[in-house]
Amino acid sequence: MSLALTTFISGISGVFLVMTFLLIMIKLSSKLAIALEKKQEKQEL
Amino acid sequence: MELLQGMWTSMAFDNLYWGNFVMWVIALTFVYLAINKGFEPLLLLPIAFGILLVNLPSEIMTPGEGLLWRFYHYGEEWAIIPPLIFLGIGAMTDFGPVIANPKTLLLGAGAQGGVYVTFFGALALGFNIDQAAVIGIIGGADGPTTIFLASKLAPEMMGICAVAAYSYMALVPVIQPPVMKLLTTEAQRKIRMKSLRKVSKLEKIFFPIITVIVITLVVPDAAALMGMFCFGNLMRESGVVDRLSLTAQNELMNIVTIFLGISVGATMPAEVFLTTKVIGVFILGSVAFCCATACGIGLAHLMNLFLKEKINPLIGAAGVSAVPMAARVAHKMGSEADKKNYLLMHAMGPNVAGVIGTAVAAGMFLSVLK
Amino acid sequence: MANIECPMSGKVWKILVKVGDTIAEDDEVIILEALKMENPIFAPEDGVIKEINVKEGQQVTEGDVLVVLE
Repeated sequence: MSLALTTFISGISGVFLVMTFLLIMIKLSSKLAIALEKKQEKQEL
Repeated sequence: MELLQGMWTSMAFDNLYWGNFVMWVIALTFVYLAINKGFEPLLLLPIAFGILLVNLPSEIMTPGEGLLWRFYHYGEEWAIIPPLIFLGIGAMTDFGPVIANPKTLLLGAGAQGGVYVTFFGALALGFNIDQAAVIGIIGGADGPTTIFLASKLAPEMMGICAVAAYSYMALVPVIQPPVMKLLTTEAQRKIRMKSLRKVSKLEKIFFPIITVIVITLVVPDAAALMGMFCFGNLMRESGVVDRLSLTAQNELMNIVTIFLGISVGATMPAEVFLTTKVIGVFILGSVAFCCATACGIGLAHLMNLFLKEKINPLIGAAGVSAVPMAARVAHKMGSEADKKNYLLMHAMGPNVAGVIGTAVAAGMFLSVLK
Repeated sequence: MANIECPMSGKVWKILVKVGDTIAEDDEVIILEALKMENPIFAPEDGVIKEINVKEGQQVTEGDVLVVLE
């Protein structure tokens, strides 16, 4: 496979891979953050 | 008589050739555009002055001694300034819209399709593969990333590509709308999106930490840019180091912009700039912008096939990372179709995701081509 | 009776109406500055201005009630 094609395929799949992975992680971290804050609120009450 | 002759040779007139005069005209045109038309003046003005200085006969760009050469060598060749600018951008950016609607990350990735279309275009026009990568990344509409990648792959292209990236960023409101109109229907432009949910402080603090871990693990070559970017954002969202955060987004940003602008301008003496290649770069640059816009909208249409709650395809075009110009354009197009359609905050999601996307794309180029 | 809610966070740039004004649907009511861009906020329906809850220069966030109509 030519270098140009390798660059293209690894590049575009890399970008989407990173973003998808990031998407999942952000969703998880949001859930965690919201859960943590709820817990804290309960303790304060 | 001899005295006069001696004075003449000690003056610099002898070393000029017609190309220098052409460059003066170009520099002055940029000065005019910056002052009278408000084209990215913060960058274009220093760049224009750098062009003027390097086309006056002096030793200002002589390797090892010239002042501007030192700025250039330590700032750009060592790739220090672009990550510092990313530190500032990180400190300025509110990721709330992305966290509230993480799907927009995919739109930020989609617009990078334009980078690769242009990459092949540049190869077809006879640029070598390193240069083609740098020209392609112009489509990401991110000046610091373009300069960063150029410094690593094709330093000889840095000045031209930076000027192309910055001048096309200023032209986003002209280039994007026709493409956007062509690829969306009136009804699609009218789609209203549900207002974004509130994002808590803790989520915003988690964001830069998660992002830097994920991106550095997958694309280690993007670490310099994304590391600084996320650090800047953490300073902003932590709320405990306001002084550092404000310095990063104001004073530090302004200082490095001065050094960046003038030394990028200085990479463009007439011998380098006045070649047919430059025309190719500018044509490809505009192709890159159009393709990036089209790819972003295309991906938004594709996502709409699967989503229950439709997104307005216009915000896909904001995946081009010119922040916040691209988001403003999407908002304006949306409100032209329907006065009460407020897309601005929705468009900020793909817009800031586009910054991440372009940096990742640059990292991927580096990992293959370095 | 309806409220005009703020569609996005920003700063109130100009208030174009006074209490007691009669306005029609799609009239510009307030200009909001967000991301260095002036965004006109339009009236959702015909009505008379009953209350204006913001001042020029005030920072507002999404969902804030800007104007009460009746």
